[in-house]
Amino acid sequence: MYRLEVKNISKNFGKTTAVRNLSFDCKEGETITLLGPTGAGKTTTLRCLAGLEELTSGNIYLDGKNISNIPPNHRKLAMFFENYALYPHMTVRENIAYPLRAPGRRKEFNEEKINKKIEEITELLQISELLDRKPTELSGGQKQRTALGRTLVRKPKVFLLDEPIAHLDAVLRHRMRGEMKSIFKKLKCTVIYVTHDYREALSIGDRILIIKKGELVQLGNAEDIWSRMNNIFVAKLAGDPPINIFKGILHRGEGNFEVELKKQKTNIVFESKKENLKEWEEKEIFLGVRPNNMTISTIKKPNSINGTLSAVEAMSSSYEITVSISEGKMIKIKSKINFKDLLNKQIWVNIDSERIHLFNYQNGESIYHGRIL
Amino acid sequence: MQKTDKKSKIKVRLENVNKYYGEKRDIHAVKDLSFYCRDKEFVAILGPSGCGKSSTLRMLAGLEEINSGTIYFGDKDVTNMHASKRNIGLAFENYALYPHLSVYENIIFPLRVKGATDEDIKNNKRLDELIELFKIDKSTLNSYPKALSGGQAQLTSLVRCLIREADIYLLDEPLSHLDEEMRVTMRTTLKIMHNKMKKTFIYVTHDQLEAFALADRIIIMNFGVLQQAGSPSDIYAKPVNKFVASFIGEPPMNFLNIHTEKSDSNLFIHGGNYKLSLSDRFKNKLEPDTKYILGIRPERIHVSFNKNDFSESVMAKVDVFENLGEINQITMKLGEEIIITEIEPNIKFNQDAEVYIHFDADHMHLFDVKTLECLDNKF
Repeated sequence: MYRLEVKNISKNFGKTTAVRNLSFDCKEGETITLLGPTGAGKTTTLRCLAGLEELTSGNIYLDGKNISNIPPNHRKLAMFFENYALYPHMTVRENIAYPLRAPGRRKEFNEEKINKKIEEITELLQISELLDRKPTELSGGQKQRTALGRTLVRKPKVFLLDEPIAHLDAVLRHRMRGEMKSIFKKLKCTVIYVTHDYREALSIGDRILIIKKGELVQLGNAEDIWSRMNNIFVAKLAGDPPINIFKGILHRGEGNFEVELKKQKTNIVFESKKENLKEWEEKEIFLGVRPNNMTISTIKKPNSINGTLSAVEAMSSSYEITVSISEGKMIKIKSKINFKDLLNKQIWVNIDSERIHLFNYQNGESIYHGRIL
Repeated sequence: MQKTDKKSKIKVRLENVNKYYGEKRDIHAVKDLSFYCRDKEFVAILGPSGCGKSSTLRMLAGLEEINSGTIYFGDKDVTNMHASKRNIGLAFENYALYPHLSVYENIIFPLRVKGATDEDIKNNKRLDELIELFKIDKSTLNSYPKALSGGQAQLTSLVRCLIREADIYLLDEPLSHLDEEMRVTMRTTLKIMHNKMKKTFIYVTHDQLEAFALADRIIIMNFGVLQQAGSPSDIYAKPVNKFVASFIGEPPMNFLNIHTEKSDSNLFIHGGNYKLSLSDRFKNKLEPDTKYILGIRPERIHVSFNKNDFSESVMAKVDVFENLGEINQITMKLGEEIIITEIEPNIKFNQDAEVYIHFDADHMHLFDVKTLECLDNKF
């Protein structure tokens, strides 16, 4: 039995459909991240689960029980928003204890039990030393942990989070991402987590649900999303810089295949044992190559595209290189080597043809994936 | 005098510049600041909010008086020169667009000021190029700035700055209001424009990724004081103190509390329950029985299930394993310390797995616990 089952839910706002016939399930202890661009329907989906939005159609089941018409406060789902609201006049301890002191829980929790709970949770969140501080005396990360503590202390059956770390600065966001994942696993939480950041989605999610215009596009683990994406939309959503896309024609060669890139006047040769490529032969397709599957050389090699090196941007331990190819098109390459000396020079971009992706020219759906990793 | 170099002549130079704010001049915003910028160089001034980076840019622009020190453009002392005489292009975070002029009129304003006719403007190739490259929506050209989103207004302000034929371009967080995708795209565009224009750019930002990506050299400030000036790779590899080391890099540098032991020829370090031998660089140079901070970048740490993979290793426990697509990241616990490292995507580790980690001894940094200075250069 699944902890949470979402069956064909839709949500309309007037004539606009925010969520369309969405179905997925979530096992106990599993974390599912909802990833999509702004306006894709991620937050609306989460609000539907929480009961903050009434469903237009469809059903939601918690441990097999239909909760579609149960009010939010009786759903045993806890929602955590990005703009955490801590009570400013209360200490960390009081803030976290607050949900346990609700009138309905008085029988369940005496002071001793409350203190024990707080000890457990604050130790895990590494805020045990801050119990007597007020929110104004806390850093951004400490506030975030306190707010998490307040949600976690209720032991909800499902934990709903909407961009919980999006507004933190880069360093803190980085650290909290790992910490949250660790906490979810230690407490065996069942989590639905909304984000627009693909790294966060891949990192935290046991499975990632990609949503576009209110519809499910792909549901899979990080490897599926990264290496076996369903279509160009998913390919572009995950990756920084995003995957490079070229228009080409697929030909069968002798014992291999070739993608002819007319504009770039070159052919990319690859081997595939896949029979199903047959129907795409001599047809227009899109070729996708991730920036880390390309290298740069000053001499022509097989599977390479001619261009001008137009910018080198340093990253922490690598470089992002922009190459102008035909007709003003720019492509991005990720490299360990700084090619600054080749700035404004003619160079060749070599494509690792074992790691390419092919997509249907008409609808963008995947037709071929190269080697995984 | 700062040392010059054969590469290219100095275009901008600050010497012992000080800036105070407040009625009693009690806020020392910029302290004895000296740095230079070569001709055609892209220099980023990087630091957290309140570090004095925007004040510095405003002083360079002549919008802010300086309390002491000298500013040179080339060989000329411009300390007391009026802003309008400095021949600079300016773009600010908060746009400063003229509300009564249309977007188009705002953009061409610097050309008008120089007396350009309609004909000149029509023939200005850079104008079309800039509008195209910085994705100024042509349908908004006739509207007024108040109709623009924050991001559009910022790009308009940036184009207005770059259309000017200036000697030096001063930019203060010009991309900060764009959404992430657009910010990254425009960052590359700006870098390409700099290559094309071959002019001197000084760029203020709090975003290390932006500074890294754009700059030939980075000036890092904190509390009004220059921390370090150098190329991105220099700053990354040879930080002068813990602030610089921790401010640059994502994921950030790992810091471990360590102390030396009383020992004979070999000095061993340990913090908590692990021991490691030091690189030859440090041998016989550290004080015995003294505390230090060890800094090491994530990519300089190697991980394996197999102890025999390394000549020397310590055992750690995997706390978090993250699949980030092109790379995997592991957070490990080593005693009380937390260590983050990046590994190739084809290797997987489970939570709580016991692993052996090896520190690349040549890339360890040691910091003084009190001054937080990096000790690498002292040996």
